[in-house]
Amino acid sequence: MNASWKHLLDQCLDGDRLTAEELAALKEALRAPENRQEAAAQAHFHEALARHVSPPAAALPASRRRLLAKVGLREQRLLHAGARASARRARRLWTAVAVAGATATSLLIAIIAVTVGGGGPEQITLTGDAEVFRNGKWIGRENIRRGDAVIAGGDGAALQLGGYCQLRLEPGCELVVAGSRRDEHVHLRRGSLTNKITPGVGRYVCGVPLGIVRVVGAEFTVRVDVPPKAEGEEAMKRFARIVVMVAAGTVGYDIAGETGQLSAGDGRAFAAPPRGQREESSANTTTGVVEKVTDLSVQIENKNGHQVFMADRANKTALLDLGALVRDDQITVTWEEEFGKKWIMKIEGRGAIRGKVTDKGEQWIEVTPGPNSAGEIMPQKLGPKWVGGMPRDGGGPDKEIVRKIQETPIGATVELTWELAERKRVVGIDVIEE
Amino acid sequence: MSTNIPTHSPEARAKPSPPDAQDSPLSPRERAFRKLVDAHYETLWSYASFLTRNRHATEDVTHQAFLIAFDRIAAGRAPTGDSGRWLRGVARNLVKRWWRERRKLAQDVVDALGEVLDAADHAATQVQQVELNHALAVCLDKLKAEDRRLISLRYADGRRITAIAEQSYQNAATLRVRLHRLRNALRKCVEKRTAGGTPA
Repeated sequence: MNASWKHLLDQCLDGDRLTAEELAALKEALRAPENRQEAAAQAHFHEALARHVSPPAAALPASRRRLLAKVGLREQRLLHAGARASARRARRLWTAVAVAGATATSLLIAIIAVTVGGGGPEQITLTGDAEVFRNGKWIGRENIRRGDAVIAGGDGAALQLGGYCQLRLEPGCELVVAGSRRDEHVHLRRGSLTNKITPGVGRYVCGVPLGIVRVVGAEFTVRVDVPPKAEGEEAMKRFARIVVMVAAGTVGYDIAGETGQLSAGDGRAFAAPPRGQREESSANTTTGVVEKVTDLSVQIENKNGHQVFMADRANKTALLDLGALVRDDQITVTWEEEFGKKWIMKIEGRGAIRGKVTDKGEQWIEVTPGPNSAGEIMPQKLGPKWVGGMPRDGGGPDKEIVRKIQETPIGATVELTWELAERKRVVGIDVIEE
Repeated sequence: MSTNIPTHSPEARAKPSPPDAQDSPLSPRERAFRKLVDAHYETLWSYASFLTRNRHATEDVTHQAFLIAFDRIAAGRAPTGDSGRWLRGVARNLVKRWWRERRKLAQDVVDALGEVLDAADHAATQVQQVELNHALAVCLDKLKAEDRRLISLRYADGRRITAIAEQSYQNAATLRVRLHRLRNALRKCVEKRTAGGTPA
């Protein structure tokens, strides 16, 4: 028993989950002063070992830059507040000389504070040539609210948020309004957006496909170009381009793994693959069973509960994978988090379907399995796996599988083994009953 | 087949990187803050990583601790004395909150662990740390290849026990006990060396 609390402490420091009884036992053991001393020595050694063997985190330089950028913005805010405090002191001095004038000034300041700071309802105003969409449906231009997507027409549009963010949408600009009062966010999907932010009222963040631009008080333009896919070009080779130009004030950016600040007159361009096609070094993976799937999302269930993963429209491979998934498929999703959502980078899956062959072609086979966990019967169409690389190198559908598909009669009961590669690919066919 | 464990003792690590190229002239408080970051960022990150075992939480805790330090510098109350120890104390308090909120540990358990970690933080001087690292390097070298591999997977690769167990088709509980014994053996070896004063 004496040794077991040490094991429990090790587990706890390893981040393992302990049961309530184990935690109670550990807590009880740590009451004794001699055990506490031993526990401290053990924790100290544990940490020394971890520090000695762990490599410096690859994310460290970028993380350090992010911290310095945060502090840079905090410093700007302090300077700003300092300037305002000086102005207030000057006003107080002036007040002593001319009381009546000061009263008028205070009154004016109060009026401005109420008008700009606002205690009233949320202010989102859209003017000009633009259409608003909610959950993919056109809703006109009235009653715009957070979560809605705005697409500017040929004459461009103007959007005002919270009384302190004036946004100019150039023709073709597409964005989503998010955030909350005094913490305004927009997600710029494409096009050019000029942002004029009144300082000292609230926060403003402009999200772009590769990161964010954060502002205290400034005027700046962000442009996102996602070039259309050229014929024959692979989706993976298309890079989103983002340009940030600052007209006044300072903005902090965290885009495409780079973090820093831009001051008035500065401009910077960024390029990286769009979301879902980036390096997987910072990615997470989740394995589970498909519960629900749509064109742009999949909900999976595992021992941690239910989780929803979104696919970016630019990630064509993920969209094709989603199109092939059905309820009860076992998959592993590699994802990254952005704007509070989990975005799919890739989906891997493997499984087997047992059912009757209900249709087939030269290079595909349709199998109808029994009812799934929701009681639905869903026929599934699968093709052979592609092997051998590019067609010019002799690549093509797996000949062995093609032959087996041709040999299998409609009506036979089969078990197909599949792998996910843009759609479900047959890697094995067992005929159970002809 | 031997598996080498790369070692990363603080003294072996590279010096802090030079200031970022795009930096504009810094204010005195920013200069003071940068000095603090240069001196302690990596060690605090490592400490937060040890306590949370979660990359995102590690960055959150590290950033919050440094931002608290910046606020104190800005208020003219910069941490005095051993600023590294002060930062670790701040990080511990932040991690305790994280344990309560994210790991759902009860307050009394968090307090008990917090006391242990407070005491652990005062367990060694810098000279003893250097000796400890030296002895660790020697003792790790004496491990069997499979044990070195387990340590490497756990710490160098940062994998969880359940993930290692899954990958190696072993029982996670067995692996936990093995790792626990391995750490005990390493600790005894290190204590013998540091107490005997015969580092390799």
